[in-house]
Amino acid sequence: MREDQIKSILTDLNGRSASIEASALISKDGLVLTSALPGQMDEDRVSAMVAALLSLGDRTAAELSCGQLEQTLVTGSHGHILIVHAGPQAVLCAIANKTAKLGLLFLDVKYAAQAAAALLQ
Amino acid sequence: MQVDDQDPNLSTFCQVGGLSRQDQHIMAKVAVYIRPLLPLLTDRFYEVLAEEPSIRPYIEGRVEHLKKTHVVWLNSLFAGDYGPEFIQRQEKIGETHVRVRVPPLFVAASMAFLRGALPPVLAANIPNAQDAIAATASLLRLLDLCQYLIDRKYAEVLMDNLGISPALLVRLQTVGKGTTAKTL
Ligand code: HEM
Repeated sequence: MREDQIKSILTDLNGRSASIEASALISKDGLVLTSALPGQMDEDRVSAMVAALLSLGDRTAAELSCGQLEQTLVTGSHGHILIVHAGPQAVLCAIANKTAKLGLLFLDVKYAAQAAAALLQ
Repeated sequence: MQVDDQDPNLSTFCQVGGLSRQDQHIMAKVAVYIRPLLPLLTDRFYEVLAEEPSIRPYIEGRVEHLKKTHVVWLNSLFAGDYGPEFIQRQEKIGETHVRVRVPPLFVAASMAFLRGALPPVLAANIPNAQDAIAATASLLRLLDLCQYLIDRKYAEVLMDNLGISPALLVRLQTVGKGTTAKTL
């Protein structure tokens, strides 16, 4: 039931903009909780990397006195990977192509993460 | 072996590795034959380390000091007491190596040297052949235990720098390209 609700948060997120190609909710330990990732991706591996990236972002922000980490954005030549906290135990990751409007992407992902965090509580 | 109940990983190590009170007895029993030979082995150990150009800078200028601490450590393997103090000592050694930035490879290579060099010394100097065989098995188990405890410090520093949990570290170490099995 809860899994279905989380899945629908991800499906809604993916549907909100044509630029969002995939998303996943991952535990802080790197386990996929729910995902809407393209079939060819190695979920286990990507999830561990995403959780590590956000943790490293947390550490770096703290070390460099940037305060509480809000998000980690990785930008490649084909698109963006946005990673945000979804409550204390989970991480939301969204993959968007180059056409994404970053401001909108940040907002959509932030709201989705808040909704997922509320369900995970 | 007295193992801390709060340390399930160490319990697993000792359980599977077969570390037990037998190791304490046999090591204490053969110590008298081996202790006098440890300074010589230490000299040889530092000769080997100094021959390796990538290791030399780490030990230059402090070989005599390092030899002293190394003999003390080697003797501790034959003390027959591998309780909490022994465990903490190995963890402290791990911390020191992290502090002086000795890479884990050099510790692993050093342990390999000792695993190769010590058994013939035991075989040649312990009068009872059965005791020599048993002591060699115990010694190899203890060296592995020490390496595990030292390596754990490197892993702790890595986890701390990345901000990751032990569970995530294990996942990152095991979900490689082409790993087929589903993660547990
Ligand atoms: C079998 C592997 C090794 C063992 C058992 C060992 C043992 C020790 C011990 C007992 C100490 C003293 C720690 C303390 O009291 O805090 C120490 C310190 C040290 N070790 Fe090792 N060591 C090993 C390998 C190495 C290697 C390969 C290097 C060099 C590449 C190295 C370099 C050092 C240095 C630089 C110190 C600090 C010395 C000081 O300034 O106090 N060790 N080691």
